[in-house]
Amino acid sequence: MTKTWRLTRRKFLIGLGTLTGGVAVGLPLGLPYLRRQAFRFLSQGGPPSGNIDGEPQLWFEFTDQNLLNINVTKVEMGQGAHTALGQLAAEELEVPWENVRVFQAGTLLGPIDSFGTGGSSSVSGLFTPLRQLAANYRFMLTQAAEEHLNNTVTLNKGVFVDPDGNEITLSAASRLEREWVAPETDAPLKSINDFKLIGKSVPRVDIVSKLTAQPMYSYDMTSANNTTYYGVVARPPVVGAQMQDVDANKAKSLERIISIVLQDNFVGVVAEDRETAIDAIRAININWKLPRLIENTDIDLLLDPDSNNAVELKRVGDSSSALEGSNTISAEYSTPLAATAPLEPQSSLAELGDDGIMYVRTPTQFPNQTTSAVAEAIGFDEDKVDVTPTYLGGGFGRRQRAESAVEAAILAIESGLPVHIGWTRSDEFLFDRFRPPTKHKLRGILNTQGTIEALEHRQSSGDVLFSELPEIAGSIAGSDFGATRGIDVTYNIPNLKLYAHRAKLPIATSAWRGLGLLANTFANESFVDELAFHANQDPLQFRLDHLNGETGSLVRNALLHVAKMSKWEELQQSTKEGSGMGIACCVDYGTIVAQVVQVEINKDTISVPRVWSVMDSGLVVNPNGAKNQVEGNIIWGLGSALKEEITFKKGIPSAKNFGDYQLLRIDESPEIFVDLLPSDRPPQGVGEPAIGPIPAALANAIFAATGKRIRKLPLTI
Amino acid sequence: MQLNINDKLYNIDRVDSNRKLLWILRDQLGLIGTRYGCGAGFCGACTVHINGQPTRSCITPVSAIAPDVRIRTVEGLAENGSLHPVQQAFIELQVPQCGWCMSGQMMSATALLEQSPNPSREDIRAAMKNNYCRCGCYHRIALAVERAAKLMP
Ligand code: FES
Ligand code: FES
Repeated sequence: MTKTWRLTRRKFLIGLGTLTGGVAVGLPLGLPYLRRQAFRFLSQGGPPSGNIDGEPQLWFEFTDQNLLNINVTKVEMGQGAHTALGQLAAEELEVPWENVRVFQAGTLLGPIDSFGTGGSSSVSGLFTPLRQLAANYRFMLTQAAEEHLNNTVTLNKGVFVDPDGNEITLSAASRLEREWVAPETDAPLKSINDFKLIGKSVPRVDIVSKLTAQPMYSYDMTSANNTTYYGVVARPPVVGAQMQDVDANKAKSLERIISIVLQDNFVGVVAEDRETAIDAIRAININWKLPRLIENTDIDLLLDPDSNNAVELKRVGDSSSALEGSNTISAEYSTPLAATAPLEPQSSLAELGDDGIMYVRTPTQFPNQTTSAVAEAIGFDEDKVDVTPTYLGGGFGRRQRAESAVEAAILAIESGLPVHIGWTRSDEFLFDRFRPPTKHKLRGILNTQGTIEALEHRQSSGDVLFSELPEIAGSIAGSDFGATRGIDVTYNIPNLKLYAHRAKLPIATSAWRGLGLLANTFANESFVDELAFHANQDPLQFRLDHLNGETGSLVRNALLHVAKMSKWEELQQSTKEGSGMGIACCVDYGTIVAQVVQVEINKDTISVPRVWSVMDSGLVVNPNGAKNQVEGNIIWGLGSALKEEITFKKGIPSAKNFGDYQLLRIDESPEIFVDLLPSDRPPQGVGEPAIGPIPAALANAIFAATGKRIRKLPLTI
Repeated sequence: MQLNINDKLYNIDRVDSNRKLLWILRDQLGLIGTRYGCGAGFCGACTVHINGQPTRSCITPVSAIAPDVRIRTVEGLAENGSLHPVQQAFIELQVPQCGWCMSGQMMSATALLEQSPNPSREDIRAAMKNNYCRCGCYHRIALAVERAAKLMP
């Protein structure tokens, strides 16, 4: 159907269309069947990536200087999404990279996105839709240029030229007064062989600004036209505590206090500067009614891999009877609570515009949800709230919610002033939405050929994505598809069973980089190593012996490549006393990672001099950016394997600041070697997969070095 | 009182003895390049130079800064319109991810290179170990500091 372009916007449904759609259609088939289908769909298909606006003028704008401004819906949190999306669009529009600028769309300005940013899906999910939008736009611009020059044209470096040498720039063509009509069928996309930008390590669009003190993060935001004031909100001593009575008299007499806002279960202060606002909040006396105070043992008891409520995720053959034998090998693994700890604590600037719109700048991965939360809190319609994400000082899953956006909006409305709220580091730790703890019970049995005859993985985890969805989604889907990420096994095993148990914990847990990938891969890949040991086989060879089929051969390639890179055989033989090599791999949606870790043990100190990592993530849009992600994931994986852990005592998490929660430091980080495998598959996720194998590879290396099998993170000897 | 920041004099009004340099820089003077990560001296995001020494501005009360003290922030790295070699090297190696730690990383690196022009990898690791990078850019940071050493005049 022919469509005339209008500069209006369409509304899309918000939500994870994939899950709800599948569930609604499948209900009559019965829950267990459905749950397996949902798991299969989610583990084999892609992560949800959302629908996007289909109007090119919302996405692409040419400046007078013929620069291309691209307004993107995905947020930039260091993963390189803005650059990669820019590359996709500029490729089809034939714009040289130096002429490309990338901007962040807000919820009222520019294109929208039904999902948000997460699941390593920004680039893989938009690979075709965004290029198609750009190609269609180029088609329209070409038509316009041909009409204008009354001749055929070719496009070169942002300029249309006709055979007589007459020119019109993309910018001028985009401004021609005419009826702009979308092509009836999609314009053809460039073939891979013609790519000039996709697949090239073009310099990232955000890097120079990040190194030259540009105000680009939420913590840097100030009102453009008015003085900015600073807000602080009273926080409960324990999550879930309710305000009883409030005495703000003392605070009222402080200097430089602009306003004190008292609402139901909410106390906030607006002041001329942050430190005064903090002093004022401290001067307000609040009596809190405390909830039951959680201890770590309460949490631990709820994790029950053997629970009858566990949901069956996958069944191949008949593992129950195959595992009856007396040679069954079993092992239990566990991972602790961990903090997200993005280095920039969350913050937001809220200002009511003269147009009656509440403008919010905030670090959110999900602008639509943040808009709804703000609108609800201040009683506005959603079309009177604009949430424009800033650059994020780290995301890692914590920016699913932006509590400070709601807080700043309330204070801005009540005070009538632009208000900035910046959380402290303690706020971040005490009110984090943690990575849930997990427990895993694995059982396996080898046949007479020394290969795996049967394997069972029973996992129990706190919520990952269920905590962000309506309760109903949890009761229908049964298992949290965030918590089970990475539990599926690529090895060829005739009898296989996977179970997941949802532990409903009394604390807030949510997404953390890679979701369940790290915990599940730790369990699976440690256990496979244990089976290799029982089979008296080299851990690499044992894995290779269990790999066939399409994905299996990709994993095989990655393992062989990393073995070669790391001189696996040679170094294994030659490693000296107290040192060892470990190997592990994972498949995360369509991305395959294989890693080798070298460890050195000195008394009770574990150090990691070197890590080798191979990733096959299909076509890579920006190889240098993807390598940076792999390097970062290795550091994350090692931090979790060696250090990161939160425990609860009297309702309070064990860390208030980095003194109690150490991150990996530069003097503890390994030398890192990364290879990306060439592939003609379409792009797959790169932001998270490489976090998966690291803890298992390290535990396997420690076993090789010491003969000690450690099954609990963080690893200690 | 007055502060000498990047060779410019700034007048500071309303100073309580306890106010930390970090928030004066960021919220009062608009020098937002110096970043906040912990407020307690653990992470290094707020690193500035005070008389050439790398210092955590989040725990430095402005009242403790004498009038003749020279403060240098990340805004003072580039000179006469050209980027500092440390900035050039960090760009060349495409070091940052989220970037929030990077001002602090570069200030620590600059202080190191000014004191020791040819640091070994171990020197770099020792000098930079109190600068956290949550995104995990350590591998590139080390390479970039080595590269910057070569670019330093
Ligand atoms: S903010 Fe100063 S050391 Fe972390
Ligand atoms: S780049 Fe994000 S904390 Fe260093």
